[in-house]
Amino acid sequence: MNSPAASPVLICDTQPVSIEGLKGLLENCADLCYAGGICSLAAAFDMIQSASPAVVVIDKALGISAIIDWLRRLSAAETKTAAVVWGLGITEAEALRLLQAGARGVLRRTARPDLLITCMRTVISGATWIEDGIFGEPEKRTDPRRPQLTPREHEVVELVGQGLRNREIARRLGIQAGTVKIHLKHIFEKTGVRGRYGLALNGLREKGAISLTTI
Amino acid sequence: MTNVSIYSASPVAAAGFAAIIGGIEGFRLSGTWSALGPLEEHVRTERPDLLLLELTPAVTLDVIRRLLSAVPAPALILSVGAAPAEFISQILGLGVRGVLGRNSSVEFHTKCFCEVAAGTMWVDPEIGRRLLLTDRIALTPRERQLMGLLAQGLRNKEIAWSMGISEGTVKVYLSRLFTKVGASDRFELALLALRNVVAGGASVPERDRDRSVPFQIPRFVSRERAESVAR
Repeated sequence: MNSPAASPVLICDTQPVSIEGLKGLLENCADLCYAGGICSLAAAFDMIQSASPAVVVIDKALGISAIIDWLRRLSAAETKTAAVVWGLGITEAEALRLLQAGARGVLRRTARPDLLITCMRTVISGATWIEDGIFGEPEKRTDPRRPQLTPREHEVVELVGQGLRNREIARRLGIQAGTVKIHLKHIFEKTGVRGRYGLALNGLREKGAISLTTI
Repeated sequence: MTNVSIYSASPVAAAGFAAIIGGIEGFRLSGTWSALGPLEEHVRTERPDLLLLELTPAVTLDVIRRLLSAVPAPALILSVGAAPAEFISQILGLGVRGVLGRNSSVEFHTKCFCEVAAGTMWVDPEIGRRLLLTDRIALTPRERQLMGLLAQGLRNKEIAWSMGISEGTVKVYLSRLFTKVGASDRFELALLALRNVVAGGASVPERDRDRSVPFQIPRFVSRERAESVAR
């Protein structure tokens, strides 16, 4: 069915249904073929080492920090596999971090299937492919009065949003409770948000988890 | 023949759902949608037997309620991502017949479609386990109002003023709520309120609404027992 020269594509996704969808999509492309679908980054790394697919498609839901570490490791391993990252929502800042870490393609899950195929073909040819609209889109969060939080501060905000206490956050991140307090102090200063409650509320709002639409 | 319609924001996931449905005997795909407006129109006019919704921020409880009010109502299956257990228990309360996780296997999807089409309810085992660990707590109208105000981030004095009671009474209410829902401080209580607002959103039935509060707290709040945090 696939020509012998077809480029193998490995899929690393948390949603088995998407793997199924992509598999079907690849079957209709003569120059690409399905090399496997898995749901862990570690397993993907092993498969790249052993089978060296032309492309690996990574689901952003695996965690942006984990993906970035993984991409760095992949670049260090000097494989020929090109990594494409896709997610439901990808901000400009995230796309930049991914590209800096070695991703060759970045797109959203809402993209049309033919765009995903174009993306894979482009990265196989050695170029980089980014979906239109990821860069240059006015970002809601880039308010000059609100300096960006560091990745660590983001982690703290995330855990506060889950309702964890300082001591629990400290244990989770492997740092001292005092350090958590210092992080929180900086977060409050940077965001101007009052107290951990406000922080959690803001976090939920940004994630779109709650809406303030009145009835 | 069971006619199935799909709503998903991701065309590739939609293709995956379609492939799974195509593989089940007696099932026919009547269409995939990536926008809710046309989907609602389709449900009203074409009356699919089964409707699979992938949860996006656009899918509120109001949307689910509207879809289920179609005559005859389609059997509704929701594919939820990281939705809180509070939300899932509310959608089941609305009459959703099947719940799948984002990480549910293809076999589980097939199973869910078949069971729900046959009239049974089907919930992904992992999600079901989380639901079993969720308590439902009944609130009085005043308690709901207070939790709504707390979720807004108001201080005791401001809550007292909004409810027309004294600050001491607010404290009495609060300490009773702490015991009732098992929260150890107002922060935890407010977060619980918010998670239930997430679920409740603009979706508390008309008779249960309190127009003086922007956050509507449902009559029953659900609380997921956090095993991992307790350790």
